Amino acid sequence: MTLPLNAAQLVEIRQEGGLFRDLHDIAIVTQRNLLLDLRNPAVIIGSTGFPIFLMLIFTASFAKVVVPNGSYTDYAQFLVPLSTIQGLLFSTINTGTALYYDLRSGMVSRLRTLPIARSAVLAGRILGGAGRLLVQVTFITLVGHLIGFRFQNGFINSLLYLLLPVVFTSAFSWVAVFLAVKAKSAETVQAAMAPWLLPLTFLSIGYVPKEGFPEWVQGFVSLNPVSAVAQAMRGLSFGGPYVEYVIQSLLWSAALTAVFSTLAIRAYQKRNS
Amino acid sequence: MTAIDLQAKAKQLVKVRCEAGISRAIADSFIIGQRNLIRLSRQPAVITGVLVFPIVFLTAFLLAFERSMSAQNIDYIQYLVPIITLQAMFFTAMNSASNLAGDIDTGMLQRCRAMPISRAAVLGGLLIAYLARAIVTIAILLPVAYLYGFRFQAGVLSAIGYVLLTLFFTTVAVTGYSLLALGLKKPDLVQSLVIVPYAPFLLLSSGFSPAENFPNWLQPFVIAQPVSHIAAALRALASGEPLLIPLLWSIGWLIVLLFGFGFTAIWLYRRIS
Repeated sequence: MTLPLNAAQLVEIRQEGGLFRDLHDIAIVTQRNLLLDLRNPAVIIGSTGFPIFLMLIFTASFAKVVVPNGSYTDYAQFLVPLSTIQGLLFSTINTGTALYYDLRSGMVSRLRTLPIARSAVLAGRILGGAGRLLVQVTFITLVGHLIGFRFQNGFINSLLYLLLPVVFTSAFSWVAVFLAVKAKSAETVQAAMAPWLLPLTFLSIGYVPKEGFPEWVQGFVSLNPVSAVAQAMRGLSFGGPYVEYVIQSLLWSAALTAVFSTLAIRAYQKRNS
Repeated sequence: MTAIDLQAKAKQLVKVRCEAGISRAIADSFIIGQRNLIRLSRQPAVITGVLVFPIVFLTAFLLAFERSMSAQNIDYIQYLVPIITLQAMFFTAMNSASNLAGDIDTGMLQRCRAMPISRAAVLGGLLIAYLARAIVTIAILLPVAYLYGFRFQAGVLSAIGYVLLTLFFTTVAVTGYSLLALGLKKPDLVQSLVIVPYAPFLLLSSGFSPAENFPNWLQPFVIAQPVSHIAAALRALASGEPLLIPLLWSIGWLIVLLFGFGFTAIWLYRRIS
């Protein structure tokens, strides 16, 4: 009869390190987060319904202001990309609050006691969030189609159109996650994100073309990453130059992700719970 | 002491405490109001909601749409401030609903009902606290609007009228939103549904953009609904335009709504327990 294995041997067999194992753990945590979203459809419906509603209302009330000689459809074509980005950006707040509730309820403490990759909690949260964002892009675009938004640039570009805002806003999910790790209450994440997300989306070329702004704001409007993404999405959906703007958007996403993922991971490691 | 003596003594004590009466109801309401205000002052989300949001919205809309609106011969700052004021009041009322739902959820409401206080005190206290919050919001918003070029062109009396009409609107909005909390009772649910009355009434109004800019089939709703009338009355007060008709419409709507909401709120409040 062989002796039962000792602890060291067990650990060796389980092979807890390694990239493959990390990815596997991240996938499991992501799956858990997505399942939670699936079982609470009210949250997704609420956070998707609002940007859709705003999009419809803005089309109704500002089309004739911004495009005096155009139709409502023209403005819809112009507006849907920005509505998508705006909806997704505000949705990243939910990613942050969801993490906060996990931290508070002890779910994260539980995960920390398990032999899983240390990166799994945060990366799983970001990826789960990205899954939710992808669902939202799809819904917003479908409703956009109803009010006259059309893809005119081929299948591949349409796919890129759907993915680009998800990549871009996932960078902002890292901001929300960072804030959630630091936060002392669930509202803090909301209170710390909403006040600057709002001007960031408004002061872009999304609702109004650049020429509509006073000169002194135009500099900010052209630097604003949201403008780059909106321009890229417009190019991908119905023509106009886009390669340059896609690259700009991706660079912004990479830079924001690099900075805020580092901050979030640091804060997470220091947090003792 | 016999049981009869005890009973007599208890009756005497109750009589001394004087639990009924209008002055007692007002005193109790102020105590609950004070408690609500203390709680409000400790919520970070409330502080951004009061201080930052109205100003951010005002700035963003002004920068984005001022030029396009001046093409339609509209002095947009004069046009915009009333609806931003009403929007801030909507935020105030939305927050009152989620705090009331929180009180129902945690049992605070039950506790209040178990105490010898006026039955009107819970709702009265809610109203007092949120009117105080509304006054603070107005006191912050209007000076900023002044910096942007907003003026009361018809003197001090009309400015006072502006504030009073706004507060009347807040009273009705808080009462109306309390129905949501009393009816649904779950904070999460209330939180995700507060947007439902807000979005159509605030945004599909002639407050941001004149009714002629809406699609023809929407215009009857936009013209008839209360927020459009109140915004028009506030604009008339600020700019010294003919006031009577929008003011009569506003006050008529507000009185009808106050009675409707008020009686439903009392009915729902009695059913809870």
